[in-house]
Amino acid sequence: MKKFIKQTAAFVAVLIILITALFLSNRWGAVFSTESEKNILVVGHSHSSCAINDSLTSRLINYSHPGESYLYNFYKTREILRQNPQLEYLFIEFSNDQLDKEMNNWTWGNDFLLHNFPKYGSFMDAQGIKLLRHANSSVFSESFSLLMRNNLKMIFKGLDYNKNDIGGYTLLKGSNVDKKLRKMEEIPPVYKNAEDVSTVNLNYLKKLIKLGEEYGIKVYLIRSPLHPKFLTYKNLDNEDQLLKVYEELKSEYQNLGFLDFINFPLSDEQYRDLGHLNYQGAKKFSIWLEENILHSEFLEKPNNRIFRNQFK
Amino acid sequence: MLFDSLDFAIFLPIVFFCYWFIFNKNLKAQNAFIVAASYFFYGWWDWRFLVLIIFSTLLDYSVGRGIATTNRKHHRKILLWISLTTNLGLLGFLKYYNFFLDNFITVFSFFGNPINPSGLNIILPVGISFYTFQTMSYTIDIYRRQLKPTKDYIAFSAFVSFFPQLVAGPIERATNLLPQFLRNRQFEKSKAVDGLRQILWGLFKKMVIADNFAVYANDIFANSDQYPGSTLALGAFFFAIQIYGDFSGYSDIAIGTARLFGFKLMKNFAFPYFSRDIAEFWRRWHISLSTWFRDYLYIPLGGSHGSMGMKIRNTFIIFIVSGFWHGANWTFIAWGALNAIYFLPLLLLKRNRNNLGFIANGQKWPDLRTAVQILGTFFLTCIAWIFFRAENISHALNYISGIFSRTLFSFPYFHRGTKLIPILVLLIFFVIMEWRGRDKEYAIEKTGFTKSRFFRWSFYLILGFMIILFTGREEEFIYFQF
Repeated sequence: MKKFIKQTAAFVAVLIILITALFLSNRWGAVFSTESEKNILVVGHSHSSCAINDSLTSRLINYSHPGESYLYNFYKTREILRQNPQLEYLFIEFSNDQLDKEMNNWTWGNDFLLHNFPKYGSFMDAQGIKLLRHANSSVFSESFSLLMRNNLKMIFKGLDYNKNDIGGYTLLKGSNVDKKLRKMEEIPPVYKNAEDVSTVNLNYLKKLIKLGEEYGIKVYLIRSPLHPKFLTYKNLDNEDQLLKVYEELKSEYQNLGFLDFINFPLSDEQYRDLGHLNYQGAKKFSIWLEENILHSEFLEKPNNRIFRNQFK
Repeated sequence: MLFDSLDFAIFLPIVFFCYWFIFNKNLKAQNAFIVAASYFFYGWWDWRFLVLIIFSTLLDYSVGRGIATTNRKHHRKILLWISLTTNLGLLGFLKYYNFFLDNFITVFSFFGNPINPSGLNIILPVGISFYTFQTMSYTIDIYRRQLKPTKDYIAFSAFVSFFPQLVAGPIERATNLLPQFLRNRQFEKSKAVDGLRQILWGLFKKMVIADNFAVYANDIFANSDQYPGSTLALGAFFFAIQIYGDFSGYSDIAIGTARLFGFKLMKNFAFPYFSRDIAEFWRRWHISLSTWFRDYLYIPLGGSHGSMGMKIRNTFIIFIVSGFWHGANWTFIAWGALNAIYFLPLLLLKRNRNNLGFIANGQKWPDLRTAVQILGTFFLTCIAWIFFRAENISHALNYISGIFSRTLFSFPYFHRGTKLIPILVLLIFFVIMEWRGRDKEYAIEKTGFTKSRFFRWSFYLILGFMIILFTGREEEFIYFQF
């Protein structure tokens, strides 16, 4: 019996060592390097991913990824900042839907967990892992298996995480704004309760801001251009709530800036849909950013803010 | 509690340690502990289910004792019928009530008398079809004087509820399993190691093979009207792999787990996809159920004796009942009937026992004739599985007509699932291992026995590692759909 238990324990131990080694190999060896001349990092979800074409800018690198909540943004950003000391500014997408309770689903919903945890799980701390495991334990074990597979795959890719679909500019073609607007006319909006926010998402937003401060870099919240009908389309009536959240954050983190481009002038043809710019809109917006915003003169101003009304 | 869950990974070592280190001094205590552990295992799904299993245990224990205490044929028969009607009544009500109701409504409506009775929201207790058959076999064997009833209620409860085989078989006979609860069990390292090996292989089959092919099979069956014949043909193939990996993998885990506790359960699958004809397939597929129906239904009906009409009737009855046992849907009945149609020519031509021997005995690979037989049988099985998997009969028929359309020769494509090639590589590995081990209890029973311990350990570690790596469904991220 003793021999059996010893051998079984040894087998399980070797298996655990192998798993741990695979887990840690990525945690310790992953490379998140960015071009050295780029010193502005953008993170967020699809809005910023589609709005900012970083190939048209000299100083900005876009690591936004569609469908990514702040939790995943946070762990990704932590690694990027750790490995890229040249970064001086952090732009965090701050859109109305990021307050919405739906962001809980974006954090631990089945598809989101299965997609994001394998990419970022190795870089998470116990708090993040515990949160996800507790929120969706049935899919968590499956996503852990995918994480192992992803880590193995990354070893074959030299642990270069830029090859792991962790973000970037998303190029969209065409426009279906007309179709969406017609559809909206048929269905009257049923607004969600503005007070019903995703506290998890907000907590990780705070962590992101704090992380920027820890690295001594200036943090800006940034709202990408949105079609005037976007909020109605999404049944969101939380504009006041959004500004209130910003004011609260601002009182906690004095250096926090807010660049609100929601009303940036774009035609319907420059949107792919009501929340996302197509490549034409992204080109116009990115060039404008490059010329007007992305220079130290502007960015270094204290208490910097662009108000939504500036574009009206 | 599922075998491939973290809960079970925690539960099993705890039960193992308590069983061999705390309760090993006393047989009754050990059996009582098995009952407690089994009830905990079963109650993990829903504690209310325990009421049924305890009732079923009490009923057949009492009936068994009752039958043995009287020699009056009439009394014995009444007691047997009490057991059969109660067990089958419960099973019928819980599993088939809504099915029968729906069909009555359809029939009445067809004849112009629409009725509108309300269905019941019944939760089907997990594994009820398995343990009901197990307890019934006990009572029938006592009635037939093939078995003496036990006076040990705890041992009988353990026999009914034994957690490794409680929810998905093998459906054990009292003649095999009950005596094992009545004698002292000694720990034997070789058997325990063998058990772990079989668990490992079972997990590989279930978690790596079945679960990964399920992603493709589910999508193809759910969207069968959108796929070409070539994809549909692959869908049927994938489902055949899925159901074998799932069910035989689960059986392997059950048998291996029982081995850890010193029990020997019957073999449930004997490499059925290498069968050379349908009769052989049914001797190798879900053996515990097939032999149950053979012994308690087919042979009492007259079996393969009697007139041609009797043979045909008996064959259809056993296959249709077997199909219906799997689920309350016409698709299962059609699946059973189709297998009866496959089987009948062999029976009538007296060729149903042609292939009793070992497949490709003494050969590394099958000869051409055997290969053709194997592939032909597998093809027929895949066609039958379409009925088993389809939502309803018309879905199955449309699926089959979709396969045999012009698009059968187009290039297959899939909507979901992105990693088919690695999974196909794993399938090839799986088939090779199964073929190499086809004369064993399970595929890797003797793998690497002639090699060094290092080789064997490496092999097992690779299997364990693959289970961890390939457990998750790797699906395309469907959020970003513009």
